[in-house]
Amino acid sequence: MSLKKGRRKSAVWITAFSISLVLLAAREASAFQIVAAAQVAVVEAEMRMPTDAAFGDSGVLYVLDGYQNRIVVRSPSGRIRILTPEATCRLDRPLGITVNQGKIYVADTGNHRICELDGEGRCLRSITLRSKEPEVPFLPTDIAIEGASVVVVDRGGNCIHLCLYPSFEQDKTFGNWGEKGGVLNNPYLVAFGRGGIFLTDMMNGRLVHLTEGGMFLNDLRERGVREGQFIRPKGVAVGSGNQVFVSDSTLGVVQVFDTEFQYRGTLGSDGKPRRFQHPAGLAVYENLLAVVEQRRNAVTVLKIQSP
Amino acid sequence: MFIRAGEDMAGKASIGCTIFILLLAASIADARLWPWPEDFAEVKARRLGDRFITEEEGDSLVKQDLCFDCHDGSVLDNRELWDPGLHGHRVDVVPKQALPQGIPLLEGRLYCGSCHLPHGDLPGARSEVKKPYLRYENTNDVFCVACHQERATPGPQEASRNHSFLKKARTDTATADPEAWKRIQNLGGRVGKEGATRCQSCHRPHGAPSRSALITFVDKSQLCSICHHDIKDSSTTVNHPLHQENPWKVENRPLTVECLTCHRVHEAPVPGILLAEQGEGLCLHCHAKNKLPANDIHREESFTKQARASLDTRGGGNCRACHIPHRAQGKFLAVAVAGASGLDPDSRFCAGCHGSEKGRAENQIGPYYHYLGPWPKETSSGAILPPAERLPLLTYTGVVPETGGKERGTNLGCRTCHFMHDRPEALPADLLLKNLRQTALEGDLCLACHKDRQTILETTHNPLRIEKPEIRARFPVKDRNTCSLCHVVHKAGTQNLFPGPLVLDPETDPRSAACLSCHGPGTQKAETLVGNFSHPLGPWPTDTEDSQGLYRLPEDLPLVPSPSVESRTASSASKGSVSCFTCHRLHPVKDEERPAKYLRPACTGRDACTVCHAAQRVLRSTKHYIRAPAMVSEIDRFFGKMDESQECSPCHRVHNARGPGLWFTELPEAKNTFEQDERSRRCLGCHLKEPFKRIREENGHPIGTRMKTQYLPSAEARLQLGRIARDEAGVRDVVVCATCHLNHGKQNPDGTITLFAGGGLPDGELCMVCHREKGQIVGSPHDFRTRKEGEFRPDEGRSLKSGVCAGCHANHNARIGQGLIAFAFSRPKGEGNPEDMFCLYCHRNPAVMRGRRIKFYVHPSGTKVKEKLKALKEKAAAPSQERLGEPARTTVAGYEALYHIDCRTCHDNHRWTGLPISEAKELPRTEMASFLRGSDVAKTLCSNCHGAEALYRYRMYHQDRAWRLKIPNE
Repeated sequence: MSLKKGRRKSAVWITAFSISLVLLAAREASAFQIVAAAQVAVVEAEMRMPTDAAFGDSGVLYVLDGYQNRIVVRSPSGRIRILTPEATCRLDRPLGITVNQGKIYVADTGNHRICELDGEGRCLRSITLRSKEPEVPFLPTDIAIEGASVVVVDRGGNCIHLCLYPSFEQDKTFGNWGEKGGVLNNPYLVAFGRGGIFLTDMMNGRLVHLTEGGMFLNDLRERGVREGQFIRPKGVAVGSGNQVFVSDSTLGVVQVFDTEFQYRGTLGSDGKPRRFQHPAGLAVYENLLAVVEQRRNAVTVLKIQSP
Repeated sequence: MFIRAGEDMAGKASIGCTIFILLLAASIADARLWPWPEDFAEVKARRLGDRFITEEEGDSLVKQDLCFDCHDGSVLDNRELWDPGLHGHRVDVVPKQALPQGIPLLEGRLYCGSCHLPHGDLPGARSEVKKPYLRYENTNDVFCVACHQERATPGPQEASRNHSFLKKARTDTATADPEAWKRIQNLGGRVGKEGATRCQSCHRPHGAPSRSALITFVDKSQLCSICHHDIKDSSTTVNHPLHQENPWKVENRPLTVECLTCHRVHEAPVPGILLAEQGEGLCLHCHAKNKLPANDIHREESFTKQARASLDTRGGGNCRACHIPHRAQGKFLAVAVAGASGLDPDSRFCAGCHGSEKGRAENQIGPYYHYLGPWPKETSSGAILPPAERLPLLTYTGVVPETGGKERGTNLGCRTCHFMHDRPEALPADLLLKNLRQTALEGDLCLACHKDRQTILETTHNPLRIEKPEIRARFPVKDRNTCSLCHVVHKAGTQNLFPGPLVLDPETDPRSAACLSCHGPGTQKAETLVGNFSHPLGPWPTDTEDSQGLYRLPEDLPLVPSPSVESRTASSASKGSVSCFTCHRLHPVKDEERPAKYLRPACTGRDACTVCHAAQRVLRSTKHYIRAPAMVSEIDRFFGKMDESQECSPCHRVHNARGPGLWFTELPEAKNTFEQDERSRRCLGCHLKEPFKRIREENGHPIGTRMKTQYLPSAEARLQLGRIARDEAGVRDVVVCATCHLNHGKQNPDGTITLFAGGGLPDGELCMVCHREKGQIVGSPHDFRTRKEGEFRPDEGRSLKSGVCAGCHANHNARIGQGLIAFAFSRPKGEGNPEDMFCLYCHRNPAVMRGRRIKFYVHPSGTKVKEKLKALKEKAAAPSQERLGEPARTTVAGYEALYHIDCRTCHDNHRWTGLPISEAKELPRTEMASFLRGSDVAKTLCSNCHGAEALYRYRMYHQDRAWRLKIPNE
């Protein structure tokens, strides 16, 4: 018995050791799944911790240098312009930006409003949405527009507001604070894509997929430091090939999923993921992806080479 | 989970970490990556691929970057914490000092987790600490102080080497200004209760714009001036200028002169005042050239106790004795300023101490001191510009121009004569006593400007020429400044820098007062004493009763302007005052032959007095001219050999006179009221004695006694008189000799010269100034001048010679004292009143008084009249007082005037009619106007008693004795 016991014990140890070796070997042997992306340009323009970016028509890139309350505009030819909205649209630490029909929409977080600017940064109108509850401030962090739909992320109420474009008439408000299921914990950036709205639920470390009407479709909630997992998902953008790009500021990578949230890879090259310095907002134009690197005070424009 | 002080978290994997390790197994091999393991406890290891984060990268994650994941705006927008252009509490550094228990380090270095705890409270921590996620409560910054104890000192600020901490803001400073608190809050700082300073009042642990995690910058004193803006921008006080070039280069200190150039906010070497250095050395870093020499009188150690006690000695050093960097009172950071605002700031600075009680008495200024201010184009004293190389004039701002520079100041200031920091090279040591730029010996300093006064050196007013030791002793060798004999530069008692106290009212005549301080009564210059009786000083007499135009304003002699005199009377103001300097000049003109006694040339002649007293020249034509050959021997015999050195000297002495009126000799004591008046006594001194006896005391016009009300002249009439004295009480007028007489004589318009005041005596003008109603006598039968030749002249022609009054009266030599009757008469035995005899003296003379002769005159009197009057009184028909004539004017033994009907009962011998003089002039001489008191008989006393018979009785009264015997009702 004792021998049996001893053999059994040894076998267990050997098995465990073998498993460990296998696991270790497997891990050592594993490689990153890479979505090839080549750097096209880097926009610096003396920015300080920019948060978001958006492409306009014909590939003009708008970067929200919100810490300095300004917008950096880069033309496809690389010419840089600085827009500093004045008067009634003077910004206060805005976080999100989008461009639609030649107009710039800024989530002016500090001023609790959305600012509509023309292409030169002149103020067109200032839009204030009704907060979810009277005592909860409206803290817009991002805005996305698709057709007649507008989605505004409200960090104050841990919710999103669906509005009609261009009137910004509030249609629906979704979301409550929480850490599980359909609730949100500090939703941050948002994007329209095929099949609905993609939203980063940052503190919950997940990516949420909603219909354009606000119905919950799916989410990706894998916390971790490995591929397909998130710690702090920040930016989201949907490419023309149904690629969903998600940046994670803690991990420093941009991961690519399909609209079913199947992991497609991580932006990189030569089999290694590309490391960004605190990537936040993302913007897609054709096969170009702009990644806002907050700690680098820059925006890196990449050309997506493989699906 | 508790952590010990300074404990290295990395080495002490927490329990959470252990769990985390177990859960993640090989995914994350090293638990030390996760000192905040709770955050990652939920991470499920899924072997979907390789790790994005290496172990090394994990280290950085738990430092600042992990925090940034949430504080980048996604949860809270604290991006300023990571702004490299901003400042905050340092992390990733080894702390300089041992940390208290409960403050963890990461790998021996500070990290966010040293202060913050992102999830949940530590056991025992209060809920308030949760919000800023601090490990411990930080009320009043106690959490800050836990580490930085040496930088925050509670207790009295005087002993603290740190900025005040948690102390209520001082209400006397701008730190108590709520606006300042608001500004601090706007900059992200925090203010304690009632404006108390906290750590976070100046520091922001994160996102501070300035180094040392300050809420604002200090390179231009911005931070300090938030609360101390009263020091920086005060319009009422003067403060050390800021933002100037800073010669004192110190590492980590502002390049320009700022608050932090001199002050240290924490751990300052000088407690309380928080200075960077003790003593004058701090100031001298920049102001080295202003260092005072060791023996300089302005060094603090040479100050009096009293002065030292008044100093703000915080910080110490000599500089602070005169300068204070903040809240100074004037330019150059003066501790105190004084003097007129028009003065140059430099002099006001000096006056701040020397114009107060602070300094030594001998160094004090005022009430009068040398002129300071713009150099006048033309000076009254003829002063010239001082030599610039020795005595500089100051610039407009009070700065002494560079020696030898082209620029020259225009202001005379203290530093024209005194040096402060600009001590001239090779200056004799003895001059340091007064910080004078050059010696003052023999007036050298003063005469640099006052060159025209240089001639004083050759006079006896130069103290160096004083021979008498007792007088010379008054001028010590060190002060042997010639000018100081009469002038005090800094603490004069009067204008013109004369010393005080003075015997005269210095406001009236400071110059004379200064002279009298040596030459006046009780002083030592015996041979030149002014004495108790001296020429009067003061406002030039106007044409009032006092002068009668006797004085002529001298053209060659100066009168002293006196503001106080101007305020008294406008007329005298235009003329000024007579002073010692009217006749004397102490600073003779150069090359001029210096007269004796410093007299001005105009005052050196024999008749110098008549320069002003021109009218007195007529004395030569009067009997009073004792220098007339006929008089000299008599006077010499009488008073001894007269002083004939000057025209007036026989009778008068300008100084050292013995009596009023500058009388040359002492006056005898007054024996009676007659001699009471001193001036009159001067007359009586001669005129009561032979050979000049002119007055009989007992039979003369009263002098020295009060004038009766009825004789008081009107104000207009007084001008015709000479001096009217006042009684001892100063209330009532007193007739004295000078009331009627001008002892120097007077020239009348017709060229005649009299010794009488007024218009003269022919018509009794002088007498009638007081005896007004006696004026009717002119032209009346009692005016003896009207008597034709051959007619009886009882006055023996006196009225023709001496005027109408002299017909009956003699003012000084009367034969009968009562009424000053000039002639003698005797009283018949048994017959009435002696005054009646005065009338009868003429009216009983049958030769001359035809028609006026009185045969009988005695009216029944005494009891009978009394009873009659009583009866009339009962019938309410008694005669009025007026009809009874003057009531008892005098009493003669056994005689009662009131009930005695005599001449004056019915007659007034000065009034031709019973009417006032203005109405009576042209009345003819009728019986009804024969000096009767009534205008007709019906209104006389007679009618009261005698009724209808009165007229007949009246006509016959003086003629027939029978009428007297037939009085009805008798």
